[in-house]
Amino acid sequence: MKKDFKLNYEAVFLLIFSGIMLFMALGPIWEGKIKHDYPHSYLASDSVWRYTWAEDIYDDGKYNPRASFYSGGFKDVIASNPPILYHLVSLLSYFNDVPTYDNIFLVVVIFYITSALILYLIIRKMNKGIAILSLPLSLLVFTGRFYTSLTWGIWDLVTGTVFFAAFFWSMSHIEKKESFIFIGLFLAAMAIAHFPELIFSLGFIAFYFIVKIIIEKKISLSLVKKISFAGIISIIISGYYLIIFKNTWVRGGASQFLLTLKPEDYKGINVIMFSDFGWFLYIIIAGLILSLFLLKKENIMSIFVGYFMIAVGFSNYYGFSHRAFQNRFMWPIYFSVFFGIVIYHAIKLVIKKMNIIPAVVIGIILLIGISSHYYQKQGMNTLLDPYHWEAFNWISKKTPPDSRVFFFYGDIYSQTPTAAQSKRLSHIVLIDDYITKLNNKTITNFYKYSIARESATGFPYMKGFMKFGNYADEKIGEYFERNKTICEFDYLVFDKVARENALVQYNMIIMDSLLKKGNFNKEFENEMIVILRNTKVGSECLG
Amino acid sequence: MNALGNEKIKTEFGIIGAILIAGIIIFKIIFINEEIFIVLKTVIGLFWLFVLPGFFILLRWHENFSFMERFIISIPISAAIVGISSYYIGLLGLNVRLHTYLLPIVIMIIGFVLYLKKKEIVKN
Repeated sequence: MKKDFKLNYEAVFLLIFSGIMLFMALGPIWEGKIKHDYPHSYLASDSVWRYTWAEDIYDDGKYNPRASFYSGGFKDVIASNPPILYHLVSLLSYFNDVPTYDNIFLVVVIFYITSALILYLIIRKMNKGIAILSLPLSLLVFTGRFYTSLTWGIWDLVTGTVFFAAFFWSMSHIEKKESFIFIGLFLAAMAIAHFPELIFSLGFIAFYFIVKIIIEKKISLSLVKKISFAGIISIIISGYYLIIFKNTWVRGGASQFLLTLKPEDYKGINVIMFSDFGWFLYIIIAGLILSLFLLKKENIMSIFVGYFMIAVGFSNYYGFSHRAFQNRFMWPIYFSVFFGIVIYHAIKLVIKKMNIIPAVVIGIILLIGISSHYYQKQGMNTLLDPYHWEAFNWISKKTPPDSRVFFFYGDIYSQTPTAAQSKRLSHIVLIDDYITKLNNKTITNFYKYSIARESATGFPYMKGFMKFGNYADEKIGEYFERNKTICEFDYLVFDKVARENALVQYNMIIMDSLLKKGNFNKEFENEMIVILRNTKVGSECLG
Repeated sequence: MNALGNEKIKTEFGIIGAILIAGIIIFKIIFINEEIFIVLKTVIGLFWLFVLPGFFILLRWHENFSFMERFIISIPISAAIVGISSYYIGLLGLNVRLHTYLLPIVIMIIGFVLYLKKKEIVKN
């Protein structure tokens, strides 16, 4: 029997949307390539530390322990960061031979796109036309200040968001017999991907129950059973990691997270405000008002999700501190339903019979209009340049694994994860002391330094079965910041080019003095960096 | 669950193949300066890790959800199951390098077995 081919306009629209999202995300920063010679568009030290979690797994073939050169030299530090994203990135790198610093961007972008498509599915249950017309607003996640969630490394949030969206999807199907399997899986995934979304989803479940009681005046036993089974599944799956999480991220007690925080007091990432939506805000507000008239319709989960995420976005005022600000980056996705409602009803005033083709055509026009208005090439700004990257690669490939490396002044080392890209225990000169010695015209072999380390949870380790210690509590500050002779280091790194010319000249004077003494050989040089190897570690190296 | 169901499943895998090809074309347009082999490996890798495992798991529910819904939801399901199992199996000592090929295959087999079991139950 010959099958008639029927073009699925909706599917074509979703493909076009996904392509435009991918282009908006990576087009401005990747110059048309997937694989790059060095990390591109890493604009904050957080993002550099993030990709090292995937790189660690890729290099070592395992998550635990965290590489000692990232964790202050300690060899048994537990890897405590939520692991899902980093495992997935390293698996992809094994498959496509693309570095983890590129794949992590790609995987995170796939999660942004998927989150938008999942919200589409939820809205679609209410009305297909509204769903199609809602998607264009999601493009805003890659515009303006929203875009920093990608370039500043707020990637755990995005990973948590894809599971959060999937959780909303599974709640929209809660009437199905086995829905608890999906709810439980996604609750567990949030626990192991980004914990705040788990807390917010528990809040949503409570919200859902309250709405049910208000509307139906009762809660069915079947609903309670499903949520209970989902909870049991999620605890079984995520239990081990939750123990790690409790003893690392929450070791100071849960109260450290229960803080009220005003946006103006927050010193971290950009805080998204309603004004970041520009003129779209008026459409969203109109959609919020219009949606009140739709509350009696069926399949309105997407509207409740939108309302709920407004409350989450302002949860900084009732105890969730900066976690609220993180979720605001995803508001274009969560508020897309309000946008779609307004556009749909506006068009219905003109096109009475709104079937899929007009919705798709107008949706494509909106996608093209928004993307062409907002698309802006960002250039290749990044913390890590090709010269330093070449030097770090040389160190990681050509030096013994337990080498100790000392970094003299260089612009990028103020962001400590940069030096750690050498994959050796990195010691970075402390600038204040360096400047004092320069001003005193001192050529010495003693310099104060700090060990490059990532210490979001300190340095947790297992003392015994289910017993945790933390070197950050046990070691005093002098362990990490010391005044020692450079003659004890295996390699010294000197930047030849930097912003502060006087400090660069000081670098060169010290380097020349060391070479004259004869204990050091020049092992590597490029346009920006010189690396010396100490041939007599421990001996007096400066006359 | 009958020959019509089998025909539907076969058609769906054909559609997945078409989406894969569309994905390769989209990626090649966007990453115009990239070598074709990197594009191919990347798109196939994304399907291998982020679509197929979840899609096979969802075969069991192919009568409850439309193809579009299952395709999209297969992504977070794949990410969850592959990511979580890679974490735990890695802790048990199996090198993560092996997970790339092993885990999706195992998950797909499990998904297919669950689908066959559901077929049997419905048939009986």
